[in-house]
Amino acid sequence: MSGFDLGALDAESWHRILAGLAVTCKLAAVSLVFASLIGIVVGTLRWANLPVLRQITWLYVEIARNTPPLVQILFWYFSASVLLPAWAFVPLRDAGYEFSAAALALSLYHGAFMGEVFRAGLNSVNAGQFQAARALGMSFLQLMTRIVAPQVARITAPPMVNEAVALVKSTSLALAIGVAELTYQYKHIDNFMFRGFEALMVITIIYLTLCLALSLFGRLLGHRLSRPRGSAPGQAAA
Amino acid sequence: MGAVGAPTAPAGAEVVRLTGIWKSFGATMVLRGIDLAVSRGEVLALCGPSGSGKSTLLKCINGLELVDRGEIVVGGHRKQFTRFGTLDPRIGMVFQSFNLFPHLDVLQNLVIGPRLVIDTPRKAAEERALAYLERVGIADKAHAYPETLSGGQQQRVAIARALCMEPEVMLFDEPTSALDPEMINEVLDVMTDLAGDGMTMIAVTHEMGFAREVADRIVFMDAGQIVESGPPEEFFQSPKEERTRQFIGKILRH
Repeated sequence: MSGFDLGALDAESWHRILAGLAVTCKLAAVSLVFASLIGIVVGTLRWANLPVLRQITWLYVEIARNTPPLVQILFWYFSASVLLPAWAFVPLRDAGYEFSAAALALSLYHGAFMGEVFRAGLNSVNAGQFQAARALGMSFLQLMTRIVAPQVARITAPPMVNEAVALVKSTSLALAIGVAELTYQYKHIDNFMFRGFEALMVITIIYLTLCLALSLFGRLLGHRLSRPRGSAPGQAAA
Repeated sequence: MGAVGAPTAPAGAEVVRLTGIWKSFGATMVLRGIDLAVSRGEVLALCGPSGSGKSTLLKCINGLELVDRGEIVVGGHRKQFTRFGTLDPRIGMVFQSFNLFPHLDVLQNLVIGPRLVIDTPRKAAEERALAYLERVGIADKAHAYPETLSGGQQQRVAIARALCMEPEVMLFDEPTSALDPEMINEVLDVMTDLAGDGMTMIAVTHEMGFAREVADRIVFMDAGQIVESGPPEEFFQSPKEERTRQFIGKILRH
């Protein structure tokens, strides 16, 4: 055992770690955007309880929530050659679609959880709010955006941020299909430079920092949203 | 007192006419052929045991509930409501549980309808809102949030919010049922004041004092039908129907 020595990580290793961090951030950001969109759409559809769409969205949510995220990543990566026609698959393969497959899998996996968060948020808005807004003559779109959405945002912000933290952690699974993210770079440093322990410490601290920062942001957001803005009497309204 | 919504119909003209209203929830028949006409300036108290369909009837007038059969005419226009459709802003409604928007302060609660629905300029909408807050006696709470107000204050804000749309008719769905006893009167006072100003009102209420003093007509419903309808003195002193007598006997016992 050679002992722990951060100085033993050479310039190339540091370069790889930074490049991996960039890929991790990009994968997390892209997946987060799509997962949120999926969550909002699926959550709203599940809440609205429309025929046919209800069964379809239910099936999606149950499949996505009850299979391992790693299996889902492998599925989207290795099924592309089967699911897609050759004219679509070949250019995709040549361009490299590991990143896209991982982003798709993570978006679908976390989108299902976010959909449930969002549905619960919509359910928590009192039916009287809809009646009052409609009685004032608001259109359905107006009542959803001006009355329902602000109340849902307040309730769902903390669990949505929790899901974002989970998503950042799941990006490490993308190493299984060769996405050069942070954990992939650790494996490379371990395999070829034999400085696995040091590299592992560094990426652990990076993940910890990312996730703690996100949680902190979530807590601040929760605090800010949990009380209506300027609720002190006498404060000017916007 | 400030002017109540500019009437489009002359006094005495019909503001609301319901003809042959039938409505069921699943297998339960809630309304069985209701006919009702309300004239401009009339104050109508809708009474009856719980489950008699009075709240449902009220919600059919502005389209919050859809009827199975029957015709609804408000302000001379025949209404065709749909499940997600936009409702008529000139039919004001006040709910049992207030239903103020918790993420908006009092002034914003009052301004959002006129701003979004009838494109009122902000300044005009705020001036009108403050005038109505003054009228319901809580101008000092313009920038408070609903959760910081008492039930009676919240209900008065809700009344002001409906008035800001300059309604032709106001629907009240048990407006005092969720209030502590000491707050009931402050809401009834506002309603009495409105009635005195000529507002057309339909109120589902258990407040027999209010019905007796303020209403022009009492409509008694039971099991989805109108059993009896008439001026308060007649209703209380010489009810024609046995079911009405039983009902009055029960509520006036204490």
